[in-house]
Amino acid sequence: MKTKLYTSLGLSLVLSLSLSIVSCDSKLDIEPRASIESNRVFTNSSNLRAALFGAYSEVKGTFNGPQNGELYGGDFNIISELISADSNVHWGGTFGEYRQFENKRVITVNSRVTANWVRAYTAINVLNNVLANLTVADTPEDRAQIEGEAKCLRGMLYFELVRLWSKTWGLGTEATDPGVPLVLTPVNTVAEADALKTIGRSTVAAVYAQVINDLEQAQTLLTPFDKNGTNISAYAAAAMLSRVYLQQGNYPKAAEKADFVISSELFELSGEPLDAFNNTANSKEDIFAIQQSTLSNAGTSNGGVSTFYASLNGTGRGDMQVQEPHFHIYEPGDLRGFIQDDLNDAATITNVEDMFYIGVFSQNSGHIQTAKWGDANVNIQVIRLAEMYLTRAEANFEAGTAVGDAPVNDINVIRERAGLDPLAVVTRDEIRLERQRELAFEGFRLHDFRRWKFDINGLPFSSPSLILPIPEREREVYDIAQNEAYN
Amino acid sequence: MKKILLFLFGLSLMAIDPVQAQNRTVTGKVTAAEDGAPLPGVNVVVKGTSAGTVTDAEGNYRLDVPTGQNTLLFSFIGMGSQEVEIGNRAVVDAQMSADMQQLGEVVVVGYGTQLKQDLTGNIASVSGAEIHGLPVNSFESALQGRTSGVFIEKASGKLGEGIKVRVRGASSISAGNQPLYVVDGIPITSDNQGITNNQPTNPLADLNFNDIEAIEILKDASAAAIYGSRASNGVVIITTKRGSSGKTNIDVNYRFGKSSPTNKVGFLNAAEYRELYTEATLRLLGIDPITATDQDKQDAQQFLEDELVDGFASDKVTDTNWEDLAFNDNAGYQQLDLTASGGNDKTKFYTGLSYSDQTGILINNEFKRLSGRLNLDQRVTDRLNFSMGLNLIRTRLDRVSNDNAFSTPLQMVALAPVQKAYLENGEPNPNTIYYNGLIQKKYAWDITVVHRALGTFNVNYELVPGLAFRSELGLDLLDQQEDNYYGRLTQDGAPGGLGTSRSTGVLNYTWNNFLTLDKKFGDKHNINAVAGMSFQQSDSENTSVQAKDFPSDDLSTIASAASPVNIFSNQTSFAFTSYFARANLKFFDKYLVGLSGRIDGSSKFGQENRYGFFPSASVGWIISEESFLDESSVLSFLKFRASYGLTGNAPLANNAHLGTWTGANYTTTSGLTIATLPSPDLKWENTAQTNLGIDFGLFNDRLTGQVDYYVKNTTDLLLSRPLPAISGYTSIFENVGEMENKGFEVVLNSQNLIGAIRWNTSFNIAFNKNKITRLNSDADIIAGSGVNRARLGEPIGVFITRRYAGVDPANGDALYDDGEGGTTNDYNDAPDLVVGNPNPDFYGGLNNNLSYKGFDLGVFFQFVSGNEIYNTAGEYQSNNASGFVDNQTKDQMRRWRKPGDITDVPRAELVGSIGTESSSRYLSDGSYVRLKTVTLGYNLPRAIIDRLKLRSTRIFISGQNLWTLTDYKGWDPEVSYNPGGQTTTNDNLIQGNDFYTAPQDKTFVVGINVGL
Repeated sequence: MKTKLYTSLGLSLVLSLSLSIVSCDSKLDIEPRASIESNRVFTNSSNLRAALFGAYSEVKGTFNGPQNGELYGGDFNIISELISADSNVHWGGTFGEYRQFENKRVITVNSRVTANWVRAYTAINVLNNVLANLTVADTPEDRAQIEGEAKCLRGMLYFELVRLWSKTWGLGTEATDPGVPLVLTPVNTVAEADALKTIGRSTVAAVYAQVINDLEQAQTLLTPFDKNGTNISAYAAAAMLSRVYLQQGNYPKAAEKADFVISSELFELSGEPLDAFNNTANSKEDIFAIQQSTLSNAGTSNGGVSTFYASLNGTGRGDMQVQEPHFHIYEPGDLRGFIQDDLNDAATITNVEDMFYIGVFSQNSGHIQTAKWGDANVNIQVIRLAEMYLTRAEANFEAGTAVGDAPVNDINVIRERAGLDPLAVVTRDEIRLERQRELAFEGFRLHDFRRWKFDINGLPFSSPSLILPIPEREREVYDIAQNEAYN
Repeated sequence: MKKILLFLFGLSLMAIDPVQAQNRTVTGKVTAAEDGAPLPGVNVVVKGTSAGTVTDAEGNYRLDVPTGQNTLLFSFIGMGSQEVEIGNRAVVDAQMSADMQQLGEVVVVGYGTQLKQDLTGNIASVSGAEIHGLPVNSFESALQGRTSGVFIEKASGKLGEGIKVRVRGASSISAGNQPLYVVDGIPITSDNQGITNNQPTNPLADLNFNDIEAIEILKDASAAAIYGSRASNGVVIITTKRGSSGKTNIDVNYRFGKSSPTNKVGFLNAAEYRELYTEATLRLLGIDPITATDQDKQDAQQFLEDELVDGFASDKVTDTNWEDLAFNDNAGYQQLDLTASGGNDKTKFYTGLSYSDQTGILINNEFKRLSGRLNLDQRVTDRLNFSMGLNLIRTRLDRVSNDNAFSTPLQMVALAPVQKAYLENGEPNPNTIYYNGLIQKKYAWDITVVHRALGTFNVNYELVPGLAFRSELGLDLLDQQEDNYYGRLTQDGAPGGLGTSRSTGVLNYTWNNFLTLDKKFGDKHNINAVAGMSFQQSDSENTSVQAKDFPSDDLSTIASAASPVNIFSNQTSFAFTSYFARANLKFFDKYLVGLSGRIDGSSKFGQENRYGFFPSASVGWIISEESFLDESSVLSFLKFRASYGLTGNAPLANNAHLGTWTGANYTTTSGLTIATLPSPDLKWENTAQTNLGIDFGLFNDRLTGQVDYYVKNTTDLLLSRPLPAISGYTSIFENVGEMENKGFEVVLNSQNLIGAIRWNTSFNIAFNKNKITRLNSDADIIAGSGVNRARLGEPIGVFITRRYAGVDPANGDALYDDGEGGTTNDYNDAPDLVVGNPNPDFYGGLNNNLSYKGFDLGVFFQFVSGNEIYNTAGEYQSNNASGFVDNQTKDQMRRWRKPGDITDVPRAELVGSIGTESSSRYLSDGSYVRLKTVTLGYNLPRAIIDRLKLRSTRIFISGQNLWTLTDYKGWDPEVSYNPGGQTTTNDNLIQGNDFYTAPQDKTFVVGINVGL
């Protein structure tokens, strides 16, 4: 009898334990704590704004393991400068991906080509999500502000994509030349992602039209918000439009947009040319700058603009080595052409006074480096006022107009800041030279040279070798036409 | 499922024999049949029950035998077992001889034990004794080559890092491929917990394997399915030592050794470097090296000195061997173990204390472990037993940087031999072409300290004889603190110092409750069954802070830094609730049937797909028990086995089915950005495995063996399918793929000589063929930027890249297979082709043990064959001086020099990138045979030991990795570097990569074991 008692006691114990566990099915409901479910994102206005900031973070070229420094965090600049490099600058670093740009022999699996393509479309999807959920904004003002910034960022990204991955504007075949795929609606399901496999490449003309549409709307929507803190403002949108119109050779519109920014008088040139750079806060010259800090930056050691341009104690690898022929463009006394050669091994950017210096950091030291990008934790200039003067001057000169001011006066504003005497008359060549001097190593060279139809290291401006390949990983997933040089 | 449980309970109730339990005590002595010497450590078990003990130093045992039980089972590793009827005796002595059946051992299976002879599944066993004393810091590496069908690879010669274990091939692409590790019934935390920018760490290295009694690896579905959704990759069951009643035995083991790398590659000396790079520079400058004048050469050397390499023209004296400097001249090892075990009828204990200190072959690499364990067993009543085990561990690992960091020691081989290692003031030379790793050695440190507590608390209650209820509660607490600091003179630390502090906590607990039934029907039928449930939850969190600008290199706590650089935290959990049952039936002592099933519910899936059912069935036929084989003088044992079952696998990520957004900061505001697309239909990967096997014993079991053939088909493979990146996402996790592993395994054990000279040989070999039979799209799955891919119809991780076709004799260009039967010098024109396979065709081991009088000798070879290795660093190490100015391997001296030269190394042309892109040029055969372990021991004669009042004394010398036969040109063919970042898919696909990866160590050890 005793045994039976024990047995039934034991069995009921076991059964009750089992049942108590059965009721623990809810124990299996464990929610993520390091991320939030997608369907909770666009539920309120502050999340909507957070998603917009997420897009800014992507545009910065988020520091993220081996991939970082994409887009405005460095690669838009560096790829443009290296593809257009002749004897002015040399890639002296170990990363073969970047050397391929300089050699104009890019392979279709180049990891930087892939990383920038992926990052740009990631940012675009975040922006498309923001634009599709504007209704959760608290007020019409919030809604306009968020929509304006998102549209401007999207327009900027498509502008950069079409410039790097497609034939240049100005060949007369824009209406048929393949541009890049235009994705304008959010992707939140696998089905939506797969649907893009058949979207194909829009034409260069269509991409430019979309860019202008986004940027024009952004300018309108953001007009009530003045400088809009350090975010995108109506002026940033207008400045970017001036860049787009200039690229198209639409000089009246380029002049108009540049003049809109200059005549607002909200911006002014900084004291000396180098003062416009390496600032922790926006300078008065900044129209739009990528905000960086020690905690939020595009990369400090394997990527990002300062990683490759600087050679200072603790910053940079000294890979972008400026060569002597570059200095032929400067006149004697030009502050933008001075080279500092007395830095010691402990020097950081605060010790640099001239626009160029002899690099000091252990590897790769002893070469000429630009001082524009000397710190991984400061702002990266995307658009600054000096460009607007140069654009207005060039656009007015080409159009034969004087919107805002005469070209010679605009050029002299820039010359005087650089410590040069004003010119009495200005020529096309002089305007173009001034632009190269002022905007050296800011990512303009490839696009300006192609616009001006200059040869690049022996290649004609229209050479297919100056265009990036569609990443091989894309072509393995779906049917998308490859660029000419890579077929 | 509840129905099944109830059915089983019903079954158990029917089987209960309501006889009042009463015990009697039996004692006895076990001796060796050959010489009558007492045999300590023999397992004595009351057959059909869990009651058992172990003989003491004099071979004596004392055991309580439940009434109704009449058979004792004696077993001893290496000797096999025998059954003895008790009858009315109170003293039962036994003699054991080496020529007895080896198949009689007891093996631990999930939630119970079984006689090896009765197994219908495939389980590999390794006794703790076999691996004790090996100079490795984690037990898995000690198993390498000792178990058939279990491929074990240590990623590098660095200490404390992850070890790859594949049981019968890889069965997943995107979920884990590592087996489940169960210690004393409790699944433990075994995944990497280290910081993501370095190689994975290995929580299994925390285990002191001197405490291990036995390791069982459940390989086929019938053995493993009791672990259901965790079992597709096999299950490794570790049983720790427990005490036995009798005199307390104290053992002291001490050993120490010296280590060196298994191999050095050899790089150019200063003269060769100068010759090669002068030629390369001349070509860069547009001068033909053949017609170049001395002045041209001098100018070229000066040019290179000015541009890149200080001292290239001016310092003709320096000749630094940087490779030598990367290695530690004082690498070595020492370990001290103290154990005591004993007890009485009521209480038994085992306690072990161990300290080991291993200094790696690389500079700045050290691993120390302090471990204490206490295992207690308490018999409260005849029917109620408590037992517990507690293991407290502290490990400290001094780490070196990731293999892809300039600061990792072996990247020093890239430095120019024409440059000095140290300045005249003794400081490391800061002006080398790349960062000088000696600066790192002097001014940086990286320490990982782990505190670990493993505890088990068990209750066993015998409801009626043969039926017991058991509850097991297990706890695995892991607390890891990683601190590193890069001084202000280091590359990463300049200008103000950079420090990181990261802490990780993992709480992993399990609660098992189950009934076990062991019942004999008549003389010849037997049932052994288990049914119960299990709940497991694991919560982990980590926080890290990185900051820079410290007041002084001597004050490196994070709080003293001026600016934070990175702040990170993560919290994640998973839980499993499971119900399981198994029955093993034996009829007429020769027909075996096994059935098992498990239902697993996991938090890793959405509501709809949360539960999975994993059943298995197996049969066995012991033919040698049939009367028609009774008379066979050759065949002493023969058994056929067949099994079929399903097991599962879940993704490692805890919320893979959800679409998520994650934090992304910009300025001082934090934003949200897209992270993953939802995959609501995500469910278990399923592996169906069929196993056919034969166990045999010949010549009175002098030769025993096992042959198995298996087919493992994995369906619903979790795959990261590549998506058009224009969607904003690069991949989606789905259950679509299928993969197959087929193979056979052979194990042979023979006793070549018995008697005064004993010589045993064991040999195992396993062949596995992996094939991906279905993918979700035509596209390959590409891991990171590496060359390993998953491609339909190919084995997992095949090398796919351009096929190198040598050098154009006319101009020294690199040529590639153009896919149309010709060659091209345009890399973009050449197609990617399958050029190699990182999976071995076969692997195994051969062990020989000889003993004569007090001497014993063990010689163990291990081999791997048919795999290839890709040297990802080849583009830097062997680029015919057409990259940057890295020092080159010696073979680059045979570069093309003038038209007509026939060679496989293209022309040297600085920064010309000739043949340096990824191609089969950097692929080579990775097969090897290695003399893994040689041990020579001597047991002091009894006369001396008795005079010293000791129980036993053994001194030994041992060598590890003494000799390797391979065609691999790099450091060591046992290599696995993941250049793609630590994602699970990358870990699975990227195999056989070398990237400045440290070779394995060659270690000599001298040791002494003293028994008191």
